Amino acid sequence: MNQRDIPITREQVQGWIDSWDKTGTIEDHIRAEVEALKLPDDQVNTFTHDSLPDTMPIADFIIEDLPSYVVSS
Amino acid sequence: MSSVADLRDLRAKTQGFAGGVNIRDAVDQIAPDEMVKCENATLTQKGGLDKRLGTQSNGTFGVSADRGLSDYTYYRPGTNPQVLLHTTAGRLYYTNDPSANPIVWTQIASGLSTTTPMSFETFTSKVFFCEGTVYASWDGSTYTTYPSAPLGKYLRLWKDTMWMSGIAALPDRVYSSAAGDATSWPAANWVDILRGDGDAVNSLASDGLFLIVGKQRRISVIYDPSLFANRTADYEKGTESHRCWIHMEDKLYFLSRLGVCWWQGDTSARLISYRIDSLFRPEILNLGALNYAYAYQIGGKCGWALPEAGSTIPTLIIEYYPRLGPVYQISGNIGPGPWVMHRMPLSTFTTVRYGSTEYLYGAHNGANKYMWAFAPVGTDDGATFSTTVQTGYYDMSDPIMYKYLRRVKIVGRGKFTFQLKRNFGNGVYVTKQIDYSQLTDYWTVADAWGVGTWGPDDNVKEAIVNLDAYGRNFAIAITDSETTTGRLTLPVGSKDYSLVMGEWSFYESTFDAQLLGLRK
Repeated sequence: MNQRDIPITREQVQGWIDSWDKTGTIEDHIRAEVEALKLPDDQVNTFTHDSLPDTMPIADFIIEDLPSYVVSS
Repeated sequence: MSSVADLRDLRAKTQGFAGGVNIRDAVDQIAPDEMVKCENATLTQKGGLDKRLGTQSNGTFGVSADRGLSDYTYYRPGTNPQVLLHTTAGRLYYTNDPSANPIVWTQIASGLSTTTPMSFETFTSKVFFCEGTVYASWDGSTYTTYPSAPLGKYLRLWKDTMWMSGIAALPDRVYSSAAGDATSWPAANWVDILRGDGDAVNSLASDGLFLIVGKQRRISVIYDPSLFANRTADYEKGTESHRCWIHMEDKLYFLSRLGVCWWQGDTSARLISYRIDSLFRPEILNLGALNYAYAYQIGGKCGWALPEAGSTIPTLIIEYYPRLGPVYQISGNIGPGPWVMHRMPLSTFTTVRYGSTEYLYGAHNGANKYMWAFAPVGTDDGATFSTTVQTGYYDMSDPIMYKYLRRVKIVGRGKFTFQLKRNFGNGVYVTKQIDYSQLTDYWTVADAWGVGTWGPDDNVKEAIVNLDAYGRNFAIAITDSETTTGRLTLPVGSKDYSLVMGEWSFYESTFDAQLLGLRK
């Protein structure tokens, strides 16, 4: 999928972060939430990005941006 | 029997001041139409030199320790624009009328950044803004925050989409909102520009075609908003301040470490400030505070307020006149224009066009005052300001022989001090007060025929001043201590318009001299 076709908003991701019960890792929690959406494709095209492969899992791409979210301790 | 040769007469005329200030070249290389100093003067008419207009306080905001960080004009069709002002108290205000004195400021929000200037963009009839701690909108009456949006410091609208950057933990990252909706931020809409290059995005801009992503050392463009495709456009020049991109006519200018540049779109930008190159040194400018530099555009000129060494707030303004550059005969292109400098107490700017008016406003750089720049006053917030102008040295086409300057004819208007320096020295050699502001003798019914003059006072006048000066070469210096304004008569066909201008104008000096001999 192209980036703009991924139907996940930052609001959703923030909700996943806020709902994380601190068991396991936040990364695994995000992967589980993305998998639960059952998107038609689990890969995102990243060929226009420096230092990234041409495609990567959508969940990993979102995890790459976790530092931009507010994660309560 | 020996005889004495007659002295040879010399006539020399200045060539106008359209070259602007030149602090790059050696003192003996300054072109005849350039100046080594030009502070608080403007180039309103090509070749002429005028004292700039002053600045007027339109009242205060917040408390006395507050300063303006950034401001913005929020245009709303069918009604008055609002001016938004972000202050060092972390407050955001708006006013419906920046021309009121005093301005009525109403608080939109508090608890905002006290150090990072807010960035603004108008989209879908709202103004959106961010400063690293909040992303919010204002529709003229309602303040709305968007907590799940990225919290960047720079906003730019491009291709029906809001773009953001400036998150400290992700210095290369640029975010995009949903197309047509700046309130929605998809989780996968981001791209890193020159990822991990040790630099950080410090500005976003657009020339319409590209989203321009500036870092201190390089500039890239995103050329496809769907795929986030990007490439580096300038590999050796970067940007310094998000608020220093200025569109003027067909050109886009920005501030880089090397000076002011003209954006070329798909190739390295061109420096246009090489005549003031020497300014961009750490001994003169506070390189660490150039993110606070601020640009403006009003009339036929644009300018950049820069923090000098020792100050984090802009203290020096460099002003550019793109329309006064040389026109190349074959291409018809216009080359880099002249520069002047101002020391004017403003650190932020916004131009407001409403109804029949268009004014430039900004925050005071040393007080909690909101100012009207280039207002029809002769002082800066009530304080006297002087002009400092000095030309290069003229040798009157004879670089060796001494000259005797008998007199000079000076063309100008208003009241100023005319000075001469000689032989590359710094000391003032001759000082003459020029006062063209007095009315000439009007004809009255008490006068007999042939006595006095009749009609309106001439605006531009000339007078002969005796100099009695000797030297090999001479520089003209102009200064003043006036606190009033003057008027410029602008002919528009059969009608003359009288425009408010700075107190004086200086157009021309014609020297009546004699060539003497060689002197050790």
